[in-house]
Amino acid sequence: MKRLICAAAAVLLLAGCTTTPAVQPAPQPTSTAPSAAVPDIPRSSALLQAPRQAQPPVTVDIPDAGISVPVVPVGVRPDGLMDIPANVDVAGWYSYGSDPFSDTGTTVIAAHVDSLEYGLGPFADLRNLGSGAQIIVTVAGGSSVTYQVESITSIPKAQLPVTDIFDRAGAQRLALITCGGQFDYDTLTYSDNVVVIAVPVGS
Amino acid sequence: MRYKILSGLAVGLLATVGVAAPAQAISSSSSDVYVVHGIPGLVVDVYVDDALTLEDFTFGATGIAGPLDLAAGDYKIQVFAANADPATDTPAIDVPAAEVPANKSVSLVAQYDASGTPTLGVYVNDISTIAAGQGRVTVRHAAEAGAVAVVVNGANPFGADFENGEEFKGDLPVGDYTAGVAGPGTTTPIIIPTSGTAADISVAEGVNLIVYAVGTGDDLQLITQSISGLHSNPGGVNTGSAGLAADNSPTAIGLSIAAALALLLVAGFAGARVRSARETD
Repeated sequence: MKRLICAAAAVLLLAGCTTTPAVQPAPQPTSTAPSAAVPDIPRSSALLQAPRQAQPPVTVDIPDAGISVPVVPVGVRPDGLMDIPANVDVAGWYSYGSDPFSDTGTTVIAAHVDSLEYGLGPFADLRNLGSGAQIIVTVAGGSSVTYQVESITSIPKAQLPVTDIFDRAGAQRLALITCGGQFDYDTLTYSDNVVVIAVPVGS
Repeated sequence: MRYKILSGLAVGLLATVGVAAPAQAISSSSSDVYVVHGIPGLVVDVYVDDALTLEDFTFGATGIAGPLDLAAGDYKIQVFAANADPATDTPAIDVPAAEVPANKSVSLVAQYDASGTPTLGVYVNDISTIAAGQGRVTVRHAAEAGAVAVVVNGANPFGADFENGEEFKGDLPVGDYTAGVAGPGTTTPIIIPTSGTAADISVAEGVNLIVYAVGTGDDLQLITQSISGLHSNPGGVNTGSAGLAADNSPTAIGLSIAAALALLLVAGFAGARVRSARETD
């Protein structure tokens, strides 16, 4: 405790915290100028804070297309690609990114369009959605966000703009991703990703 | 070739490209500079090159300021008690030439040195991209204390002690940890925070969580600064393996033998069916 007092006293002395004179000189017109010129620099908390808890999506419903699929959280595979549930009837939410209730960013949900084991999946119909089609994403706990389709794009996989699609800082959006385009029967892969971008209704 | 399946509204992927500039790229001629208040109990004014830059800067809940975009170069940094007159009063911290490098993230920390004198700690923050599923923890000794050990989940992950002004860092899987500071070469008892109980910290994906041990004597505390946006993205999305939804699907252009074999075998068809498929191909 003694050290603390010494240190605090030293600070006060160094900082020149002497008693303020009882009589202040009359303020000069220019004396307030420096204060007015102080830049507006954002300040944030230095206290230990619990981070926001994610609200993981549990279902995606697209009434127009008769699609209703459960959603599970996923990450990345060892090769760096997004992990996708093997079952075509289950979609994966990229759990390191935004969720529907995040203040910013894109909620990314992807599912296999088909597989040799499970056949054709519901996301095969994504490319046939109409503009403005509604997509309802429900999170654990029952809350939901309704989106409307803004664009559907077929993009060669190698050109998928991952920085944009997996954005965490921009406007709230939903990206549904599956495969399409040409199929390579030697490598059993598709040429393209089909990407549905949707925005919250009312936004 | 990339094409729009649905024109829809005029805005789409292209329109939203570039929403978030990666935090890693700052500027070849300037740096992001944060000012961190690491002296408990003191309200200060911070002057940069004789200009009042932070007024009534308080410890704790509003104790991080920035980022400021400062051109690389030397800056005169002075920290006064709040409302002091810089013309006549003596600054608590007076650094004639703090060097700000180019293209870095820098934290200027008003802190105590090992002997308890207020000083300015200059730290460069690691804003390199973090692997998916991980977060970064940086621990800095900015307290009036000798060598100490960092304790994370009951062990010292860095295997060494560190002194005032030094830092340790590492990338950890996302999750909850307990963290504290103990005497040199030990992991118990916890001396920071002074509660004696390790603090709960959460490592978030793509975030550099910087933990500072600050304070003096028997008022040692932990404060934090977070720099987000350091995440990496998946390399791609591979979402199909049967060709059933392809533009060149079997129904459209005829069934290739390879795909027919693969599909029929997996679907459990007998060998006779395979032969018949070949005959009709």
